[in-house]
Parts: sequence; structure tokens; C-alpha cells
Amino acid sequence: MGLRASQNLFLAIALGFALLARAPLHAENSLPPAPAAPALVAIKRLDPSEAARLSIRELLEHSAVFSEAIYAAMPEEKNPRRRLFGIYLKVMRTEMAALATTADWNGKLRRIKAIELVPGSSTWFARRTLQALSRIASAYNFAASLGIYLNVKSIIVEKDPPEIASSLQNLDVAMGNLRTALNRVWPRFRFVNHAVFVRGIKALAGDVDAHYAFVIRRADANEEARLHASIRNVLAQIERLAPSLPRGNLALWQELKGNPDYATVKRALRNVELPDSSDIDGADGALEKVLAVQIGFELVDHLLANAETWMVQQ
Amino acid sequence: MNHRALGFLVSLCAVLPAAPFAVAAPKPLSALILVGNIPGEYVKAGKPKETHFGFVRIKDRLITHVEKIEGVSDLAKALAKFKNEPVIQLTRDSGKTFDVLYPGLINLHNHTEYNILPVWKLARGQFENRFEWRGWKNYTNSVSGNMNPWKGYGSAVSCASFRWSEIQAMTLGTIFLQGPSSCVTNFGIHRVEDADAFISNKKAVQAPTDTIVPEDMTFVWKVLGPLIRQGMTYEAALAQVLTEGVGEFKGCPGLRGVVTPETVNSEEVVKILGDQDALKEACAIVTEADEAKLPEKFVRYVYWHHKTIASRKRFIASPDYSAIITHLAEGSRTDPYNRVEFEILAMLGLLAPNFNLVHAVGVSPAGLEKMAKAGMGIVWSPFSNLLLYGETLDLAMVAKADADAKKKGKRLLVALGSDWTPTGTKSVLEELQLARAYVEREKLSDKFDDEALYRMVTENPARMIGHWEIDEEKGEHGVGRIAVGAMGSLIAVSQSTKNPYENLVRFGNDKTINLVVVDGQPVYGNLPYLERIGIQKDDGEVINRYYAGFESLQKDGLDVPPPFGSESGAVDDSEDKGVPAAGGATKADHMAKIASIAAGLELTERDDCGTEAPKVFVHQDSLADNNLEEFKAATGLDLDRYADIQKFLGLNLMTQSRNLAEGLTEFLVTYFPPILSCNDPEHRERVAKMVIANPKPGESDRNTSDRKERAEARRSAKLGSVVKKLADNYRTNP
Repeated sequence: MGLRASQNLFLAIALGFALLARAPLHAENSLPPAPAAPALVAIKRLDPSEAARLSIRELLEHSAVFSEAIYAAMPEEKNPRRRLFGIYLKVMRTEMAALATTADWNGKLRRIKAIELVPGSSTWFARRTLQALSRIASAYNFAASLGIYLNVKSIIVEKDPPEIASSLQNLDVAMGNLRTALNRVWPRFRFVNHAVFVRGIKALAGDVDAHYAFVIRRADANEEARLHASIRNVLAQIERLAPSLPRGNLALWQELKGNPDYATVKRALRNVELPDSSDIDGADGALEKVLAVQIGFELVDHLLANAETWMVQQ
Repeated sequence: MNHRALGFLVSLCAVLPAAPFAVAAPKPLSALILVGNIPGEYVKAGKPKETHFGFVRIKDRLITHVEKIEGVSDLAKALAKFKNEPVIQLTRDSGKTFDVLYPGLINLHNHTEYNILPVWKLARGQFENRFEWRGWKNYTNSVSGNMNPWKGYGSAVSCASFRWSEIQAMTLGTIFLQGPSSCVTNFGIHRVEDADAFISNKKAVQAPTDTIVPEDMTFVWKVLGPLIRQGMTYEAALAQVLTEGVGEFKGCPGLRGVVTPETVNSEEVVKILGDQDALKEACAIVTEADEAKLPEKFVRYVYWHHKTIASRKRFIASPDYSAIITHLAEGSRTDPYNRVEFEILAMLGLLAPNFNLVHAVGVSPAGLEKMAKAGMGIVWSPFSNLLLYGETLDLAMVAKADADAKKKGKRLLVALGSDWTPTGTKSVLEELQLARAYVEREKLSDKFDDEALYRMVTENPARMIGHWEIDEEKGEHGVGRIAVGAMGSLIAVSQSTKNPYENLVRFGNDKTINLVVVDGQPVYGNLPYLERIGIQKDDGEVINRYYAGFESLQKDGLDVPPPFGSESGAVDDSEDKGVPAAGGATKADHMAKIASIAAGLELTERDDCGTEAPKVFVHQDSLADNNLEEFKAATGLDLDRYADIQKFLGLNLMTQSRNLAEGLTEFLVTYFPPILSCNDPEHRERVAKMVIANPKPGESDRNTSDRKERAEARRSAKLGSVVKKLADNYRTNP
């Protein structure tokens, strides 16, 4: 890659980030305010020759805008797939905002040389840029692969409406274009990111944590208390082990699976009854919580069981 | 000195240190005698529209005596047989006048966790149904935005909220309060849904917010509906679809011979349907093509909702059934979905005795007749209806349905419910006054006089929840009346007029509620009354004092951390290094920190009520029963104490909201509402101006002006899509 192209690329990315930057002030389980998303129909699928002509910045912007539009059009209620997509989108928005801030803080991006964008470079900005791109790509893979898993495995999660399903396919193509472009520039580009995996698994475990007390009820108060304690125990263990899991440390996964509470919790959360709710959100809210707990744990279990392969395959 | 002047004086002088109460709860009384005026209907040979001097004795939670006495001079003689038992003479002027005793009021509609919020300012009667405002962004910001994220910090926060609701209800005479609650065992008043609130052999009342879930009930409407309309029962229709299929779906081979109309609600069948692997296998759902053939919402309905419907049916059929309370047809009278919701309930076969509908505004006249025939009841929340939808029940229709039913020995009972404070009032007592103004304005006082309204907070709700009956042999000890064998939960109210119904309906308020007795134990009342049985000022807390200053805590420099999660936007770099995020703080840690700050707050107390005597909440001793001792030890906050509950909730509401974190200032609540309405002029005004019975020339009440501006309010809020979607999904000819 030539010097000039690299400079342009970095500048372009920085400008793109600046355009899309948002202040990242929000709770863990909610997305930061979104930029106004264009209507879903307005985003077109790029043909391969057009995609090949675009810069990484343009491809990234295209994917970001496309993602916002899809997210805005996804059915909001009782839709675990939207939750997964939200985890990805949050990473994308956050990384863009963070990089835009980096650029502003330094103010010297124009002078950065191409070599500094190559993996292994000691330049902090280069590392941060690559890290951001890696996180975005990884977060997308995280959401997409788990979305496919739900499609195949779960009958209780409803399918996406046709227009969303087809838009997701288009987004997949767009992300593929981005992946190709990144690979072209940096053949050793990493599409997996440890922080994203940890963040994703913690977000899903967080969904379980947020609602299990409402969802898991038993007629026998002692039985309920015991089960709640088991869930807390397992979630705490996941919180503790998650950062180390995808490092190929199978012993840790074995440790988790060896915890007798794990099997108990997995069994209890496989089929969860819809509890009565006298809260203002009523049955709608109850169902939302039940899905968050049941699907959240199923995905965590799937991720944990496949942590190592997940990291290798991406 | 008039009350207004007294209130001013008190508020100036009440800069007092926080009351350092640290004394245990007083010992429970073995018996209690209350001397006062008793409504005529509750005494032998009494005149119904008058009160009679007498006494009520309570022992072991139950009323043992209700007796009329000719005069004060005969009192000693009448009580001679109860030597050494504690007596409260309900007089504030040495026997010249006495308070009136009433059964503890019953409130069948609340959402108790939110009762710290003020009335929602943006609600102006513009909505068509509950799903419309629930989905409106401004609602989410106004309610959830002020409750999140701190509502989820941990159970102690919920405990505090539920306890706040109980105290709020209690100060206005409610003893049986419907609403979700936890950790209120042995604290204050009773939950309607708590079986232990009653001495009875019946199962606990069930009060799910919804029974019909519009998103998923299209299965019933569109798939089962055609079969049910042909005369099948719900059970037969569902069994047929499950085993024989419908359209492209050929039924579940694994359920043939297992599922029949007789077994489809059984626990065994429900277990299969509620297990996703078993369901997949039984229905041969292997490929996506198999899934595509399933009827609309098949899995969602069969897997999630049928379980609930079947469970309700088993409950209703059980010999110890009590009642169900659920929202239905909430919204405008003409909203198409509201009209349909009752039909879906009928399709499900849930028109059953004591199946009580909260709101029911959209139920048609024919539906009301069916309700009366089935023995169902209505929980009426006029303030909430008028605030959100600009209209409420068609009372003339309700009266007609009830009158027609009476001829056949049936009734269509109506009880009042306050709903939650963001859209409702603080209690059924306030709701009574609004209801009275409404029936007067609508010229319906002949059908709904003060007596009829009185019954909406006493007898009617007691009957509707299956706890009216008094039958020693059956082990039933009802509520909602003063009678031997009834539960000993009573209130005492200043007597302002001779007619007991008028006295409560027109003059009952937080200043005139002078005593609240739960199961024979005084929990709240005028200090002089409590002192008569040995309860001292230090045995409780003065409720009419409230803390001022929550609104300016941060401005005044209080160092309080921002809401949990508000700084967690960026992915922590440390995660890349395989170590946990810095700090490792949890919601529970954060909540404990806030609680500790609250415990140390020194705030100014105010009292603008100007009551003639301090009103005291008697210390409760319920921490151990509710696992709150550790919380107290760790934070210093005692959630048995009104002052500590107030500090904890006030600090959370004013400093921990998502709106504050995200700068959504237009949705921030502007104040932490005091528990008593007499200290809360904003609330008082909202309630008082909603309906004015006899407006002066040129005067208009809020409801009337809201209705005039309704169309424009809907246009400017861009409402309508939810209503249209529901109407499309539930067309009458699907």
C-alpha cells in the first residue's frame, strides 16, 4: 500500500468517525442516542465492482448507515435478535466516537505515515485505529453468528420480517466488502477481538442478571431462594471467567461446567414460565423479561461451549 | 387560628433535626376496644344514614363485638366486662364529638413501585388505549427515564418503594392495597394478593396486569376464532388445531391421543406444550419449512400464553378460588381494539365469577350484560381514565346493566381503584372525591349517590375478591364491613356530617383520617389517640413532616456518584488485556453507596398540613422478616422507618435517573412528592381541577379542556399508528 493512500485512508476514517461521533453516555443495556437513521429502503446493495472502488472509510460509513437503518426498522418488542444487533451497533457507535475523539485530541493525524497503520507498529494511533476496526468487525460477527444460531435452534424466537431478513443479507454483503478491503490493506487483520467477546457475553449474562429474580419463581420460597442463589453463583463465575475464556484456556470452561449449579441453572432456564406481572408493563413486559433471561442464558451457554472455536473461526 | 395560618406557622418552625427514633416496635395488643360513632348499617337496629355511638372490640385479628351505647355516661358500664383491655376513645374534644369508624378501605388497582412519581404532566387525555402511551417515547422518558436505572439497583430499592406505597395508602385509610409488592411482610397494611391478609381458606387473589396480550392473541382471534364462532369451546378449538391442524399445518402427530378438549388445560399437557424440545418433537418441527407452515403466533401462543390461560381456568375451577383482577379494555369507549378485547376474553372462556376487569371502558353494553350474568366486576379508576383518555366508564350503561341484572338476582359490581400516582391519585379516598364530582357533573348522582360510592371502596371490592363472607364454620372472615367475625381492620375519620356515607365520601382526606388499625393493631393515627393505649411519640414517626430539599441536593454540593452505568460507554481497554474492568463495582455496590449517603443526609423537615394533632406511623419491626437487617448493618438505613425510606427514595429519584445522566431535562421530575396530599399542592390541584362538578360561569375543568384540545394533541404527538395496527390485527371479520 502506498504512502499517500494510507494517509488518505486514515484521514478519511477520522473524518468519517468525527461525522458519526456521539457522546457515549448511557447505561450498559441501552444504546446511546442514534444518529437519525435513513429509511431502510434508501440503502442499496452495492454491486461488487462498485464496492471494490470504494475506500475503507466509504465502506465503513455505508455499513454504519445501513446498520442504523436496519436497527431502526427491526421490531422492537420481544426480539432477541434486535438485542444482539444492538450489542454490535453499540460497539460500532462507540468505536467511531472514540476514534473521532482520538483524532481531535491529537490533531496530528495528517502527518501520520502509512507504515504506522501496519499491525505491529508502535504508534498508539495506529494501534487504536486497528483495534477499533477489529472491534467493529468482531462485534458484527458476534451478532451475526448468534443470530444464525437462533434461527436454526430456537422456535420461540420469531423470524425476522422478510424486509429485515433481506436487509440483513445485504448488510452481510456490505460487511464482506469491508472485510475484503481490510484484508487487502492488512493481510493479517484480526477479525476477532477479545474485548468484544467479553463484552458481548457479559451483556447477555447481564440480561439474565437483570431479570432472573422476576422471572424465576417457585411456589416454595426456599426452593426459589436456592435457585436464585445458584443463578447468582453461575453469573458471578461467568463474570470472573469470561475475560480469560477465549484464550484457549479450556480448563476454565471445564471449571464452569464442573460447577453443579451450572447444570441446575441451565435446566431451569431452558423453559421458563411466563410469570404474572402486576407491573405497569404487564404481560408484554413479563414476556420481554422472560425472553431476555431464557435466550440470554442459552446464548451465553452456546458462547461458552464454543469460546475457543469462536475465536479461531472468525 | 385557621388551618392555613397554622400550616404556615408550622412550616416556619419545623426546622427540626431528623427524629432520632431507634426504639423497637411497641408490643402487639392482645385486644383493642375502639369507642366512637358507628355507621347505622353496622349496628343492630341502626339507622342506615346515621351514625350511632358505640364500640368495636377486636381480638385475635377479628371483630368480636359491635355494640351501640346510649350515651357516653353508659360507656363504663358497657365496657366493664373487658377489664384492663386497651381502649381508644375516638374523641378530640373530651367527649363532645367522636370520630366515625369505618372498615379499612380496599383499593383494587395500583402499580405500587411507581408511587413516588408525581402526576405525568404530558398526559392530556389524548390517548386511545394503553398500548398507545406505553409505546410513546415521551412516556418512556417521563416514567422509565426517571426510574431507571436505579429501580434495578437491587431489592432494597424496590422494598423502599413498596413500603412508601403502603404508607401512602395507609394515611388515606386504605388497609387492603392491590399491587405488586415484596418485602412488606408485617409492615404496615395488607396486600390484596396476600392470602395471609385474610383469615380464609381461599387461595390468594391473582392480579396480573394483563390477560390479553395483543401482540400474540391474534392466534386466538384469527386461528381459533373461526372455530369458536361456530360454537366450539376454546378447549375444543385449541385441541383440534393442535391435533388436526389448520390450513397448511397438519397438526402435531405427537399430540394425537394426548390432547383433547378435556386434557388441553391439564398440567400434563401444558408441560409438553411448554417445553420447546418436546413441542418441536410432538409437532414435527424440524426444518424452517415446517416452521413456515405453522399458523400465525402458534408457537408463541401455545408455548407461552396457553400455559397462563390454562392455569387461570384451573384456578377458577378450584373449590378455594377467590378472584382475579386484570386490566381489560382500557382506553376510549370507541377504540376498535378496546371493543375487541372483551370478545377475546369471552373466546377464551374467561367470563367467570369474581373475574374483575380493571377499567373496562371499552366493553360494549352487551358485554356489560354478559359481565353481570357471569358475576364479574369492574374496577373503576376515573382519574387515570380522564387523564389518559379524556373519558371514563359509561356509568349510565353500567347502572342499566346492574339494574337489569338485579332483576335476575345478579349484580354488576363496581369498585374504585386509584391506579398509580403518575396517572392516578394517592388513594381510593381521593378517587372517591373525584368520582363524586364526576357523577355530579354528569347528572348521575341519582344512580350513584354517596352510599353507592361508599360501597365502591368497602363492600363491593370485598365481594369482588371473594372476601365478604363471614362464616365461622367455613373459616371465612370477610372484610369491607364492621361486623362480628369480620377482620379487625378499621379506620377512624373525623365526623363532619351526620350521614356516614357523605362523611367519608365528601370529607375523608389525609387530615381527617385519625386512626388506622390493622388486625387489631394500631399502625397509624393521631398521637393523642395512640398515647391512650401507651404508644408514645418515640414509638413512631410523625408522618406529616416531610423532608424538603431533595431537589437542590446536587446544586448544594452533595457529592453523589452518577447513575450506575452512565460512564460505561466505552469498551474498557483493560478487557483486551484479559483482566476485568476497573473497579468491578456492581449495581448492589452502587446502591449501597447511595443508601449510605442517604443515611447520612441531614435535611430540613417541613409540615404544611396543619393537622390539629401529629399523625404518627407506629414503628414496625419487620426487617428480619424481610431480610433487610444486613442492608441496615451495611448502610445505616432502616427501611422500617418512614424517614429513611423517604431519604433513600428521594435521593435516588432526584440524583440517579437516566434522564439526569442523559441530560433529558425536560423529562426530569421537578420534585419528590411528599407522601401526604396536604403537603403536595401540585398534586392536590391536579386532582381537584380534573372534574369540577358545578363550574362557575367561564370556568372549565381540566377534563373538559382536554377533550376540546384532544384532536390537536393527537396530531401534534403524531399518535395513531399503534391504534391502526391493533385495529388491523383485530378486524371484526378476520
